[in-house]
Amino acid sequence: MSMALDIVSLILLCAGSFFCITAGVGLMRMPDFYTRAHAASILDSMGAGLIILGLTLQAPSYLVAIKLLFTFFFLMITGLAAIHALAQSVNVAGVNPKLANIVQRLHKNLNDGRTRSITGAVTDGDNSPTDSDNNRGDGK
Amino acid sequence: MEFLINSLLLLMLVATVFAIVRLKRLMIGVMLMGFFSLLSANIFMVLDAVDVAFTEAAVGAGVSTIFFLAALAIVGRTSKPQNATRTFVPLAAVIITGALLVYASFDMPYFGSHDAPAHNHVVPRYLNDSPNEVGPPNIVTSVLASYRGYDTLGEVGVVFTAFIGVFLLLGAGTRKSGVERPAPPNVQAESMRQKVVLREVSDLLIAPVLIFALYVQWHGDFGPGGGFQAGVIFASGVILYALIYGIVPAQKVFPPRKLAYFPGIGFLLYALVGVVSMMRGGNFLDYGVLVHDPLHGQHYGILIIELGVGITVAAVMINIFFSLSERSL
Repeated sequence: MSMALDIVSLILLCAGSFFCITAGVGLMRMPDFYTRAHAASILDSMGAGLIILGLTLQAPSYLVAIKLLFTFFFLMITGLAAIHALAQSVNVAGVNPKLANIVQRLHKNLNDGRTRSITGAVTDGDNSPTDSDNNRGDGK
Repeated sequence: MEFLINSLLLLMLVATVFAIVRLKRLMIGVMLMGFFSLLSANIFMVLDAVDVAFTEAAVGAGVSTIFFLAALAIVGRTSKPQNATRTFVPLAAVIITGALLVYASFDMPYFGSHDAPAHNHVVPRYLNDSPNEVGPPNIVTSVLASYRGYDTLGEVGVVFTAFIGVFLLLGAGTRKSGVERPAPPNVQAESMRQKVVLREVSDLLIAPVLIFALYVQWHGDFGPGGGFQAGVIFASGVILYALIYGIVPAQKVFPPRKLAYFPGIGFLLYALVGVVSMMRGGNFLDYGVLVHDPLHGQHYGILIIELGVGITVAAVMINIFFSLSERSL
């Protein structure tokens, strides 16, 4: 029984760590704010969530397990709501996603006969993140 | 392993400080200061100082970040450009002071050393005799509330004084009470529509936050917690309500004019316990004489003074938030 618990908790912990690393890579590598926010939300939901679930299975007593489940519950709600609020206010302030209409743009590029890679299309019309920061109006 | 975690946390602290100093955008600086507090809370946690970590996380990362943001709403988001001349004297002063501090640190006992004065003076007595003299299982609470009751009274006085300062500078949130910046009705509806997720989440969270504050308040002598943390958590619940629903509904629940009395009430409640213990023939803040059994007296005294601390801190935090946000309306 405890062997099975250990294995399940090991799998959960490893999956959680994997998602944490994924989120970190995403935060560094994603091209614009919205995709980065998506990466950060993975950190909150899958990364921390799976790790806490894995730790819950290792908890020495029911009290600790219940406390961890509470943490899991509130982390899910608050983290994702915070990311949502951030993306919402950035959207209201008028920052457009860089990957908007990516399919159409790729299609157009193909029709133009240019041989551009996907990354070339993504970085096309690149404006630095500091510019998009300045775009935000009176958010409050 | 612990050494590794400590070094990593301290390095991150230093990096955060440099980032804060170099930043021109105050908004990001405020966020980084919250991060700084969270890192310090982690360090306290590694050092097993759970109560301090709790306070640091609640006050430093939570409420003070909101206060800074509220102040930024008044003063603007970017720092003034500084002229780069005459930076030599401040630089020299900083370098000399830093060198002196590093030099002085050579005299300090090593990290975790057994013969550090802090571990030999009164701490053995606290650790050995506290269960029989004061009672609470959480020795931090018995030191804070009973052995060091005078100091804690002084701390509550400091919080109260800070409130008086804000009161004098900004008004106690009553200046334009109930007058919110009139927004066009469609803007109002639009902003409420945008906030629908935040509203649902805060509806779900505010009640647990307030109940958790009460738990921290009354459970402080058994586990980590106490009046300071509980007051801050309670205030952050109210501040969350004010942030989502606007300042006017929050002021209907907590009218600033009445709330302005509560810092004084909490402070006086604390001091009154001392006066009552003097009238019953003990020393000031000697709770043992409150009822016939000294241990029970200690317990009652600690509960009451923690309640006083909680009332003062919560009222001060809510009041300061109201004052700042009324200014920026």
